[in-house]
Amino acid sequence: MGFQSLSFLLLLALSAVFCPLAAKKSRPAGIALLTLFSVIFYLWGLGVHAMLGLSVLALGSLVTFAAARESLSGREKPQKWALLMAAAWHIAVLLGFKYLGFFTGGAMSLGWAPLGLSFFTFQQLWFLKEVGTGEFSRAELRGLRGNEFALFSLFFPTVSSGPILRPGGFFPQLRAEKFLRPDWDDRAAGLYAISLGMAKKVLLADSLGAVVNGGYAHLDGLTAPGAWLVILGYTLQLYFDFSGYCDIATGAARLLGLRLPVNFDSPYRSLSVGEFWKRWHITLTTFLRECLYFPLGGSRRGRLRTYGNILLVFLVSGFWHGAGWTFLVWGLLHGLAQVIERAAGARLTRLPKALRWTGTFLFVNLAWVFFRAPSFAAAASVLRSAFSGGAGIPAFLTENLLPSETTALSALGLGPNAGVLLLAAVYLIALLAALKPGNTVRRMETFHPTGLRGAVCCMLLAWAALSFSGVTTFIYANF
Amino acid sequence: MKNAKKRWAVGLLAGFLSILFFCAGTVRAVDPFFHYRTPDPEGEVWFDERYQAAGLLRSQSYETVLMGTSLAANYRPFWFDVFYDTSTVKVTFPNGGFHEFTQALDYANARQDVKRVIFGLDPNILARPASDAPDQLPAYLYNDDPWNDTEYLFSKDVLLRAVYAVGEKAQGHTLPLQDAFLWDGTMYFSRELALGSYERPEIADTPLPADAFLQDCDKNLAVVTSWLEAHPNTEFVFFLSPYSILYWDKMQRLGETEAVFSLLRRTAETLLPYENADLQCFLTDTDIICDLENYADHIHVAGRVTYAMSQAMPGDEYRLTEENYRERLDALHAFVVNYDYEKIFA
Repeated sequence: MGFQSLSFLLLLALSAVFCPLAAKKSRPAGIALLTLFSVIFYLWGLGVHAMLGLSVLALGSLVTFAAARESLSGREKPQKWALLMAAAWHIAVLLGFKYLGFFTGGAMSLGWAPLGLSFFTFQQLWFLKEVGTGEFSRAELRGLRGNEFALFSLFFPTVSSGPILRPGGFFPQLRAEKFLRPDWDDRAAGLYAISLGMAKKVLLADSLGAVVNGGYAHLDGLTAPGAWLVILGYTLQLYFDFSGYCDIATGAARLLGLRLPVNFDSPYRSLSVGEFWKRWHITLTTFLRECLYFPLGGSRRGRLRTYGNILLVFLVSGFWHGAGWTFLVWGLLHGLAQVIERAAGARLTRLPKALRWTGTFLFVNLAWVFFRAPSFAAAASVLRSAFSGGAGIPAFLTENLLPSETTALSALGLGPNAGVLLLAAVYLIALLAALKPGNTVRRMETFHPTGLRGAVCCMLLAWAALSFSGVTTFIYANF
Repeated sequence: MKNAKKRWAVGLLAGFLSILFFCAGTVRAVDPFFHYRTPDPEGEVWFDERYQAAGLLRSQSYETVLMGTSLAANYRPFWFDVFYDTSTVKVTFPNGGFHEFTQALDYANARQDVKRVIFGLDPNILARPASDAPDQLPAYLYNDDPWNDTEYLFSKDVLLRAVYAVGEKAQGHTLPLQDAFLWDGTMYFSRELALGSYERPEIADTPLPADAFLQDCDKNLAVVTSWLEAHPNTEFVFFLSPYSILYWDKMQRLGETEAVFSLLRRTAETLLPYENADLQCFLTDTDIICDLENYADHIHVAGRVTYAMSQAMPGDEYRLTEENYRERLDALHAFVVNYDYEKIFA
């Protein structure tokens, strides 16, 4: 089930009503019902592979939980082996489902992967790592129940695309007062986040996606302004797609009395690539830092080793995002940029802020070209057009942009200019929203209910819900 | 503050649900795609074949389905009622893909006892790779599952069309069912217009190989033969619309003539062995194709011609058989290869 559907809103409403009622009788009953809703979410409408995918995730959860339990046995060697074997299992499953085709040159491929497998794998690895290092204490582990761990693995707001949950941030909440006992503060904040998230995804990301898809479908016809619109369009599309998803997930969790970690913190305001990664997909960056960069030695083993570790972490990040050379190049570019920033040291920070922001934003935009392009040839074509293409905005960029709204504006007498006006409006709103300080999760904490805010949220949520027919899937659900 | 937040949250939900149900109520009442009602045969607002055809297939009583791309749109269904002594519904999708036609055909067969399908077999879509074909039919309209009606009822796109339909009806801008999606009346046909809309391509350096379209053609024909095999008791009348001499000028200059004739021969070889397939070829009528007064562009032909074609379809004059198809296509080949195209533009 996708977030952008009436089925999801109905499931969310039912879980927000019935799970607290069940939890009133007993907390385990509430957890069981919430897990059941999560299973329905996973299975609903995902076709023949949904049951198999759920089985893979359930088996993976069982492997992790059994390995963690084994670590309570008190015998040091079996404990480490169990955790390592469980980690190997998760990596092997991820490689088998998502990278077999890449490693065999397409000769062998399963052709599908369980929904959310990449996020699930990292979350399980994080848990195993924290158990192994003792960050997740033996006392906590001893008190951890199977139903709680099942919910950690399958929790429907996060199962498809994260945020990647840290054990220490999730399990204590299950025993806290607010869990499945949300008050009106939580409900109002949750609805606020869901409204904004839906608007980001459905109204902004999908509209920008129509422009971007139009550009990549007509690479030969791209002009220079057209190519820059496609490049900037994808930069904004990806941000609103994923941060919109995170807002909805956070809002949905809040309706159930749970708080999710902040995953985006105005990343496009960053003044360096290093800062960008402290603000973009924060839970992934944190996972990679704690579970890969630090174990590799981090920055403690000399300059060259540090640079090597940074490059390796970002190559892994690129590969995690997609089994293709273009993703690896994207990761490599980000790694190299951070190596250069480290090597330059304080000299960069002395540059004017406007220059640093412009350089960072331009770099991030250009790097996303490799992330989005289906091939190096396509990426080269877009970049070539951006720097040496002709003038004008090609009509194919606007032909699928908000078609109903374009029709309505045309009927109001705006005629052939309606498409271009909407294009300008969407980019302007998207840029302002992306560069606005603060994020939805933090604004939820200081949220004040006003009539205007209510009317705006109501209109955005209704407009988004009435646009669900024909809406595309979340980009990050593919990872 | 608690009460303020409660009022805010409840107000937001109430407003949200009110807007949703206002939309659903309006769509249900107007029903612009005829999902719940039968269209008024005397006057409706016709604006989207892909969305409104499902309602026609559901609500009309028919034995014959007229199907195809825009080249099959300029026919009035009752012509076939008269010439084939049948009852006809017209389902055409501009630039339609074979997967879309399969969906519509399956839905028609699920609703009625379809005895005949008259299909405009457009060489352009036979040559097209399946990956380039549109696949835009709204699945929620082409089945009877009431649960997915939410996609229809709770859609701003449908709401906008409902408002549009009400506005058009209020202004009397309606057409009878028989005139739905016709070009006559909205397009005009003359030599001047046909030439005006034709962009004569540059001469290609090297012609396409004769088998250039065959791989995609075979894949598309496999879909067509699957219809013939799945419905052995249904008569399928495939007709090839008369592309104008401008089309052949374009093929000659692009070096695609041999590839098109290979496609036409392959089509005949594939379909003619089927007992329930009838192939009517109007491409070979050189009187029609050379008279540009019949055309709006290089392929779209006037109603007076489509009327004559529908009248001729039950007969033998244009029928290709296993015995005559080579001779007729060879004659057309000789004609288009030797034609003096420059005199058109002189």
